[in-house]
Amino acid sequence: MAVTQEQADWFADAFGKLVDNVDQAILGKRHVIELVVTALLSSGHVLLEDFPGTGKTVLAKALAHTIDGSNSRIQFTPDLLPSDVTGVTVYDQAQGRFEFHKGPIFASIVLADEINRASPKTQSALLEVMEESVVTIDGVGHPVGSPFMVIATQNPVEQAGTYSLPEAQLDRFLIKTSLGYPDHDTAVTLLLDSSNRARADKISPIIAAESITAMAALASDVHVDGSVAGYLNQIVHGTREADDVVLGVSMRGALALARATKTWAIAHGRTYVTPDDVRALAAPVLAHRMIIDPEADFAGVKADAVIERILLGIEPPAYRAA
Amino acid sequence: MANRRGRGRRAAPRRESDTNLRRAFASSGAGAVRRRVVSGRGVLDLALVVVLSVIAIAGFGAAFDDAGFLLAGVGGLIVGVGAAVLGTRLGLGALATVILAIAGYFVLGTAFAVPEEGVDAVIPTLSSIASLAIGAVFGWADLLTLRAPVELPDYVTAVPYAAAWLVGLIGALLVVRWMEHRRRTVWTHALLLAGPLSLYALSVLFGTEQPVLAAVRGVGFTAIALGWIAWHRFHSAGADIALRRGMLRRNLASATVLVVAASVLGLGGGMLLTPSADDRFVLRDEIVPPSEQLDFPSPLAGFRKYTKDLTDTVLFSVRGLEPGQRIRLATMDSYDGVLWNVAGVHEARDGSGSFTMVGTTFPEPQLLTPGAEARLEVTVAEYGDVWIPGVGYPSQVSLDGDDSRAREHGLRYNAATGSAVLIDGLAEGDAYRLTAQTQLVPATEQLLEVPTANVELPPVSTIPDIVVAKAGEFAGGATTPIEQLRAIEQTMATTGFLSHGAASDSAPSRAGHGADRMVELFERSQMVGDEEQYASAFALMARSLGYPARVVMGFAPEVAEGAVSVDVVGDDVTAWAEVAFEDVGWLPFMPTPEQTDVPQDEVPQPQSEPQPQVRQPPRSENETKDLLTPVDIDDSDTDDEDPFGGIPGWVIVGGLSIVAVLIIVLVPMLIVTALKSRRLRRRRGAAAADASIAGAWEELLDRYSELGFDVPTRVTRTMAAASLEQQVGEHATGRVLGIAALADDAVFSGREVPDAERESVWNEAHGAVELARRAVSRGRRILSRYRLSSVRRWAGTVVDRARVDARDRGHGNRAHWGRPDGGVDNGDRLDGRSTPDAG
Repeated sequence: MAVTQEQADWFADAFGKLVDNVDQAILGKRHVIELVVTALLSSGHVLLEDFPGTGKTVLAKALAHTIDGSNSRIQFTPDLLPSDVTGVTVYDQAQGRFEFHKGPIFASIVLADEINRASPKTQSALLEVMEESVVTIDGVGHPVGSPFMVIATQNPVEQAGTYSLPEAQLDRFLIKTSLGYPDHDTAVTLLLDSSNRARADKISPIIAAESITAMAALASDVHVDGSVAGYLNQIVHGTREADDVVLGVSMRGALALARATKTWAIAHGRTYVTPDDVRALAAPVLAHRMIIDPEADFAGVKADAVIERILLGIEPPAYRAA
Repeated sequence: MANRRGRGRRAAPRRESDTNLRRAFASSGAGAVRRRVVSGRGVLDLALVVVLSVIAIAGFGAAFDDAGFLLAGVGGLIVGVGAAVLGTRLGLGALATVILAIAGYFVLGTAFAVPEEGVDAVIPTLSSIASLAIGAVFGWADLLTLRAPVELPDYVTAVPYAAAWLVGLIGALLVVRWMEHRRRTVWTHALLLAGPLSLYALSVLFGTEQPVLAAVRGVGFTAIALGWIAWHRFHSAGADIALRRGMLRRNLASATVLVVAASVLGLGGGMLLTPSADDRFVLRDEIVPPSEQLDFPSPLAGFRKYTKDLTDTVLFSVRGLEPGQRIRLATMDSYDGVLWNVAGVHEARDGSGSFTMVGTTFPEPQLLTPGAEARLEVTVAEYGDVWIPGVGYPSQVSLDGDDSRAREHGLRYNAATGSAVLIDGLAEGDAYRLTAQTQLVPATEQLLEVPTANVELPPVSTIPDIVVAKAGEFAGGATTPIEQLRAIEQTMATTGFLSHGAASDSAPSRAGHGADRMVELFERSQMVGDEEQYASAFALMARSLGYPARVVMGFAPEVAEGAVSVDVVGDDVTAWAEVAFEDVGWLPFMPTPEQTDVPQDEVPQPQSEPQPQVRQPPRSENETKDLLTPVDIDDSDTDDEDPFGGIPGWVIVGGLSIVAVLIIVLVPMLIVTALKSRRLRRRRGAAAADASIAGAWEELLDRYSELGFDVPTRVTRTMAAASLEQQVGEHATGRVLGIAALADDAVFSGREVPDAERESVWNEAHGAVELARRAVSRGRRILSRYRLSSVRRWAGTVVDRARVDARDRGHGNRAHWGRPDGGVDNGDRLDGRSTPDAG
């Protein structure tokens, strides 16, 4: 069903309010917030990578508090076990049977703080649930419900005591972005309000979890012209052919980009996707899915720059697909 | 040194109110130097330099026709002295001061020296600056070589300006930078006189034999200079006050006596012993002026054009012409056996082709007994030649019209012949006023004792023997030059017949005045010809007798008594000869007869000229057959075969060349215009409305590109729009972005686009293009018509690709790690532009 302009306007309005609400907690990072909210409304997950103290956790908590739904926080540590995340089956002597105790993953918004401090084994425990929204324990699947979103934060891999996320795990994240340090004015504003130690906690929920699901459904109906889809595929294909890239973007990545662009388009009040949407989200959605050649990586080549180079080489479509 | 310091210290407390001369003298010391203040004594020195220089500059007056030179000279002094003083006050170094002076020379020079070339006579223009530079370098030569009074070129005024500027600058620098720190002696003060003295000498050397107030200026200059030196001699004596008073009295008395004596002797001597003009040494007498060799065709060669083609055509009309006065056009004194022509300067210094640049005031001829003064107003009709019709020897010619000043630069004059030319030529509608002196023609009796003048004339060559023989025959027994010449004139006028060779004339008369025509004139039983032949023959006869003669071509219109204006037609053309008589001038002779009825039986019959016998060719066997072969005899006029109808070949070649150039220039333009038109039609007429709207955007990009804007390639519509809006300026804000959004909506929304929307977007695109057109210069707008954007955008794409390649090459060393196949570029494979129409 095609999205009407009224629906698009409503969506854009709701999107704007969500961003505004989160923006109260994390000042001056509106674009990052828009990306994160886009991931939320595209049923995707977000990986925030940045140095300690840049506001990753605050952003994740603020987003969780914006939605009137369940949320949980998992502080990943090296000794964290998969069952600490997914839950465990324990024997109930009174009932005389095994009973599943849900882990913190069973929430609408899950904050996986410092995810790369856990061992790869524990990280991998998230693979199934992030992809299928189901946790399978002892052969029994336990749906996590909808909406479901994991906001993971991690420190740069060069930091001590970290385990880099496996490629398969990275592919599960719709968007990977970073906050960076605030600019001067924002920093001064934050310093003047330094007594406020829990900015995220003051965020009030403004939208029901069900509405998030409805918005995600609406976004999935946004029209994508064949020429734009072709353009998107050219970019994805470009990542596989580009120099300095060992492994390009998978089809999962291409689908993720298509989903994200739909949400991005309707968030800007449009009922259709344009090449601008694709260009805007190409780096946040695709960059972390590529594996840069180690030598090139050592030479300073970044995945974002490779995406930019690919974009410069492809003519955006100007006409409707035949 | 100690003494100077001591004086400096004593004077220091009083220096703030340093107004009178004595205090000013006292203040000249090291302290004054540091403060860069010109002392009172220095001011007096500067005043002396200025006054003496002005006296010197006045001497240039003989060479110029108005007071503009004085303004230029005084201005140069002001600029030179001002720059030196200002540079000192500002504490500038010597080099910076000189640069300041040079800047002042050019910035202020327009107002002082060449106001004619400035905007509002003050603001410099490129032309005025160039004149100041050229005048400073070449004006000296022009001032010497052009006939005085010099009026043109304008830059000649830069000579006194530059000289005074230099003298003022050096003099002022000496005063404010050198003399202020040094002990003053008579010699240092005498050094200051060097500049004005040089200027004085220069004014004499560059002047004329007629000095300007020589006695007054000389005595004034000397008196001021002597008085000033005497004054300084007293002050530089270094005696104390008591001693000075005694010296002052004695020195004042002796100086006064000296100055008065110099004045009396100078004035008296100047009046009594003034050398005659001929003894005065001026440079222009020593220099042979380089005259312009003007390569104009002999006007006499076109004599018959007037009598045949322009018989009744009004060439020009003249107001102020008196009955009997003839209009002179050109004077020719060189004969080469074919033509009488104007002679070049290499043949004779005062030859008829020796023209010099003049202003509107012409120099006087050396050989002239003035008769009546004529004032003419000439309005040109069909006449179109470089020779300026006039009467006698013009003294002033002023062109009318808005561009007269510019055209007067093209005036050239030959004072010996009285011929004036306008290099650009006269054309219909031109008008000018002319004042001239006519030659007084004494009676023959008064000239019996007068020899012909010793005038250097270019040689004549190839005088036919019959002309020489006839000269002696016609002269008869006359002994004096005037009698001989009058006899020849009389004989020709009475025995000859006049015929222009026209159909209405009773006898044929061939045009031309070459040696063969001269022979023909005299060999026929009757002399038949017109003014061209008779004047030419007379001049040749006079020259053969050793008399200085020349031929003049002009017009002799009939002027009725009391007529205000007369129209001169081609039939009025005439020619006559002139012979120079010593101390009298060039006197006219009219040898042309008025008798036109040539006796018919006297017309010579053509004589048979037997041809030499030649051997006949051998008989051919095919001769009979050939003889029987019918031969097509083409009786048609050969002119009819000329496909170009008798158009001269050079016209055809020139025309074809112009056409070829036009084709080379215009055809690509037409092709470009046609391609653009086709592009527009294809885009606008696309079957689908969304494609048409996308075409509107493409058209907009192309038009912007053609207007010279940098249209980015491989970007989305929104990105391109943002870039273009930034380039166009604020008034385009939102306009192009709006069109980009409309196009995106039509193309990517998947909806059915109505035709009305198509028209709307196209109109919007045209509006945006119009905005861009207004934002660029007219030149870019015109150029955009003939630019093909696809070439520009293709070039942009190539550049972008080159950038990407260059960046790839930056990583090229690692390429083999990234791609198993070793590929280094993905651009070509990914360049899948889905545009159906690339324009």
